Amino acid sequence: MRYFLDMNIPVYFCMQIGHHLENKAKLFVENKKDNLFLLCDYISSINLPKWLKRQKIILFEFNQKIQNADYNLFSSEQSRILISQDKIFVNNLILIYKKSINKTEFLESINKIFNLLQARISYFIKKYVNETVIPVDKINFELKSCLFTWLTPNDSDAKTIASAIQEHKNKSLTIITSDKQHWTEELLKEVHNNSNLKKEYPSLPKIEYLQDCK
Amino acid sequence: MVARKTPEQIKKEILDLLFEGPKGINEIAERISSNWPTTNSYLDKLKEEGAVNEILITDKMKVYRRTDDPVYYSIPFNREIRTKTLFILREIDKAWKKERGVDLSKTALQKLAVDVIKHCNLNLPVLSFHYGLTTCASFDSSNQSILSLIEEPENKEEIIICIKEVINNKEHTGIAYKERDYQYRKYKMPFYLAKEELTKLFLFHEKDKETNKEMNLKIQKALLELSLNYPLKLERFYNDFEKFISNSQIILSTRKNEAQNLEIIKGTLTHLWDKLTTFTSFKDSESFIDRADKQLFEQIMDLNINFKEMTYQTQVEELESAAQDSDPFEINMPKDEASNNIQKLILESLESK
Repeated sequence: MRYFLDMNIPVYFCMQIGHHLENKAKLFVENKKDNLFLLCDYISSINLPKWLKRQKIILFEFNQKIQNADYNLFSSEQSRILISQDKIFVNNLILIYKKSINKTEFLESINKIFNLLQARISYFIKKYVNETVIPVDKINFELKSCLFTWLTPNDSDAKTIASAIQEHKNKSLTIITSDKQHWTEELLKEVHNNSNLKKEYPSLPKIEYLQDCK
Repeated sequence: MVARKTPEQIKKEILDLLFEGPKGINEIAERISSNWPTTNSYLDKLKEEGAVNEILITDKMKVYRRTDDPVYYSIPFNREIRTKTLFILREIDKAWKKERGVDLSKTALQKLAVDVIKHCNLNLPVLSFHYGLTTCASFDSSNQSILSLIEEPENKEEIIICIKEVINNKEHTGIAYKERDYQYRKYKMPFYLAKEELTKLFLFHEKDKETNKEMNLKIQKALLELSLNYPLKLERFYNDFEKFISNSQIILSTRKNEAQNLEIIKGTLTHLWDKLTTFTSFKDSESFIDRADKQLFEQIMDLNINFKEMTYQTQVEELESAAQDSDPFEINMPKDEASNNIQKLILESLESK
């Protein structure tokens, strides 16, 4: 079986808190056996690095604020790439830091977690991903736009799912994700409401959810 | 009739002129009232003698400097800045010997001079150099050629009084590492203090040639301290810094090839530090550069930073490669409640993508 991985899979796999999706991701990877894991070029070379970069900046902003109460959060040049959820994240980190009893331990932990994150994700890709598919510049614009209509404003998901559909045309695959809300069979079927796309991609990949892994 | 200048006179004129900082051939020729070919040939001779070298070579120009230019990186500070700074350094050197009866180390001399500049509110550059705040120039009491060019500034008396006050401060011991420590605390330089702690640990390791879990943990803590105190003004290098920290922490946590990997970490830190402090030194200098020399200043800065960048990249690749030999899943994420909350927040932010 060829599994096309959503970006969430490696991130869940890298965690160590016993979150139910983390456990499912570990189970899914442990049962890999002869299955192949595919990652699209968009996730591998753009979306994951961008997300990891934002995580580093989140840590930078947190460390700056903790060391200097006068520091204006998000006043650094690099923090411009943070999205609103990231800013909420930084504020939440500061809140739980303030509430923490052992502040030194908290600082050690947060820095260790963020430092390990990138290494674990890179290691996951190196060890478990068999192939990177569909170069970013080969993503079918019409297909991506069709998906984007239903996923607006999530351009990332539109590019990722378009990559999966295109790769499925090359050789059958199954998408694996934890996003039950947006990555649905119904969404994929919308592609067939466009006659050009239906002709181009007569077969659509199946979707499996991490939640349902056994 | 005007007497012709002897070759030695011309060479001395060129060297005296280059005391004002690096200069292109055209400017040198104009200032010594000579033509381009003659000036060029004298510069070639001086180069053969090892008295000058090219600091910049482009298609259109060559810029020369004295090989004994006392100013760090040969930054084109004007004559007044150079001579005043050297005057302060010379006077401190003399006064210390007189007061305390011993020679002053180069590090300590710089630290005292910075205090004089700051204490007296002298409008002179203070650079965030690799061993903390320094003046813009080094001082060599045996270089008569440079010493002979130092002029006494107008506010000489004021400076001498200030030097006395600084030397009388018993916090100044003249011992290099104590002077660094005193300066870092006095001027609130936690990033430098954290680096100093790391350097000390590396030194202990070098002495003992032994690695143990305790030493490893101490280095990890010192790296964390360095991260926590990373200054905002260096944010353009944060990516490099973060790469250094995360790879080092992984290497230290897995404890593979400890002695060899510790050397790689140490080497990378040295190159990274050099790159960071080269940048800060130039940034601290910027506002003291005369408008006419701004372009030259930028060129010298780019040249230095690009060079440091190149050497750093080679080193950091070695560090990354050492870190990639480790399995990061062998290192446990912290398991306390706060760590769980942090990881949960990471996942929440991912889910709300």
